[in-house]
Amino acid sequence: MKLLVIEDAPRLRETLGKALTRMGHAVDLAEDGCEGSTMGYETSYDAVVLDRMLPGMDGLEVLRAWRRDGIATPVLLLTALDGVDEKVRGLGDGADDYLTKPFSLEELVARLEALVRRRYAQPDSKVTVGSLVIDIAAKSVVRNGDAIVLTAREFALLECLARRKGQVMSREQIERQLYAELDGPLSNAVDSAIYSLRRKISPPGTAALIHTRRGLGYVLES
Amino acid sequence: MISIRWRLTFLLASVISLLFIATGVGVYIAMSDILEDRFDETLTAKARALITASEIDGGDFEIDLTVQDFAGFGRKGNDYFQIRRLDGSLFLRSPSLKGSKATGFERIRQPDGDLGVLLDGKLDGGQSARYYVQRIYPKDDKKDRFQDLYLIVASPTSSLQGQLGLLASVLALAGAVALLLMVPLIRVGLRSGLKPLKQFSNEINAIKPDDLSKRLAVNRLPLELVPVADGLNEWLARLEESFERERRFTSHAAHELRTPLAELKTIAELGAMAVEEATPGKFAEVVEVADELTHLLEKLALLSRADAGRLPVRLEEVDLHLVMDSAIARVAASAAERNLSWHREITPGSIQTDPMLYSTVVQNLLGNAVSHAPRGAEIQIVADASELIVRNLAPDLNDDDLRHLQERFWRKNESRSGYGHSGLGLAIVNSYVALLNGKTQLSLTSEGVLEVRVYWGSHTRSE
Repeated sequence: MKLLVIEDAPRLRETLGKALTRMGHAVDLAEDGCEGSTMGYETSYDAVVLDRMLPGMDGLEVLRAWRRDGIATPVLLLTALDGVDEKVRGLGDGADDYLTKPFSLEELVARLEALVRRRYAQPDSKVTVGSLVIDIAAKSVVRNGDAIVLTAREFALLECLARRKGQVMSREQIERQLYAELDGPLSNAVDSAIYSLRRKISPPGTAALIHTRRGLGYVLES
Repeated sequence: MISIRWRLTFLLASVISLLFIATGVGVYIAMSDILEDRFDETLTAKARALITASEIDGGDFEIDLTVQDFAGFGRKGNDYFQIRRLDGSLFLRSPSLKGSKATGFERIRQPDGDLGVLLDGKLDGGQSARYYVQRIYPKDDKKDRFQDLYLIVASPTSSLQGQLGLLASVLALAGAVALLLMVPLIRVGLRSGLKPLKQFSNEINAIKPDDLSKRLAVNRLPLELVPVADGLNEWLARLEESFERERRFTSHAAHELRTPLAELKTIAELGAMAVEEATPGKFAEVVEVADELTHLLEKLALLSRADAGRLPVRLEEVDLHLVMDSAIARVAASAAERNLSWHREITPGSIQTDPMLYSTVVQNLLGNAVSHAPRGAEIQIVADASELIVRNLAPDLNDDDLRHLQERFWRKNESRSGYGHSGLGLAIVNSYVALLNGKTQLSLTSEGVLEVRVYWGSHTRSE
């Protein structure tokens, strides 16, 4: 998942970034409302973790501005305010979910994945492409009953394509989804990752599932 | 518990009843006087008619029978008279006395003069009567044979008493009916009169604890309820402010505690997820967060003890210069980093105060000034035995912020993103100054200079 974390507490922001990256997600970090708001306009994220109280521009202000301008990215509000009225206010202003500090990383990721599934209209965490079954929550891939071991980056690429099954994704789009802003990937990073992924999910004797559309990009379909 | 309506009903009913009784008694007495006067006038008129009608005709005393009949002294009359000689012997009596037992004239004493006299008495039958007694001198008594006569006229008062009895009955009956009708009528009247009170009560009941922004409408209320409504509105405003302060405190306290806890939890979870993340640096962060939480809890505990009056005040001799130098030394590094300068006007000498409370107040004020003054600004300190003033530029503050500056956890920036500041500094100053019987005053000049002025109380004095 391509995620944006907007949190003003530096330790929490950095730790969240590291933890989510380790879980195989591309994470961008913003330390205040203004910066986070701009990033939300400029980049298409799968989901945003938004702190409620932020310096510069309050979390709810950021949310209202996005919703007003048609930015429909799922937003999980992260806050220390646990009052029912605060939750109602946050959800009323356009948040898709609400998590109170302190929280468990596992729960945060589960909620983010649920939000993203809802966004791409997937009823559960499993995506099937021909004989390939991808369980996004369990981070497992099986083809014809055989488990396939992928690196975090390879799984992130497969997840990115699987969520848009049948849709062509350009190299730039994939790059934006897979890498955080500060990662600065090499120019052929996406091509290399595609090559590596193809070898693993389509061993000799099986049908190719990742197809190249010349001049357009890549698509995952049976 | 008795209601105002019942209380007023009882009061009004009692007062009106007393008025009714007094009026009834007054009317009865007045009417009784009038009727008695009329009775006496009639009796006197009858007696005078007899005297006028008496004459000597052919040497004999006689009274015109027509007058006797007309005046009610005839055979079937109800009034009586006798004419007696001064020696007490009966000279003449009215036809109405013939065959009547209505005697008793003997008990009426002779008149002293010529003027008529009215007397009360009883007829022999026990019947009450009024008597009129007067000497008479018949006309044409040329031989003076009848110059020793006096007239006694009696009229039974039974008819008068009957009239007075009827009057008393009518008054009593009317009074009783009026009293019986009065209570429900008063209740109806009071219900209508107290309707605004009921509406007022409903309006107050409609104010829910979670909506204290409501105020009572004063313009529709009767004049008597306006001060009550004003008082309640003022009370509601204070309550709302208090609830709002409490809500802010809870919310801020939650934030102050929840964010470090979230940091601790995510650092721990990350370390558990990947062993390479469990670095000494990360553990140092955990210790740092724990220290911050400890510091915060210590401050809250101190405030709590100060609030509960469990912080003892121990007066000692304190050198002002030493306290200030020590406080400035603690923030000197931060001040230098931000290029802040100091302007000090410290009165030399010692004061008698609690050194812990005093130095904590000074330390918090200087710490705040160093943290919030813009880079390159000057921090002014004026201190003597009676007061302590700390001034610094505070361009971010406005007059509205002054109301909240001493609130616990209040910060100008709600995000509370900075570490090391809990927003309890001025609250602690306020509490500690109060323990020293002093008071704190905050002001903001038009140039954006924040002045915190502490007036020391009776626990601080010069040596």
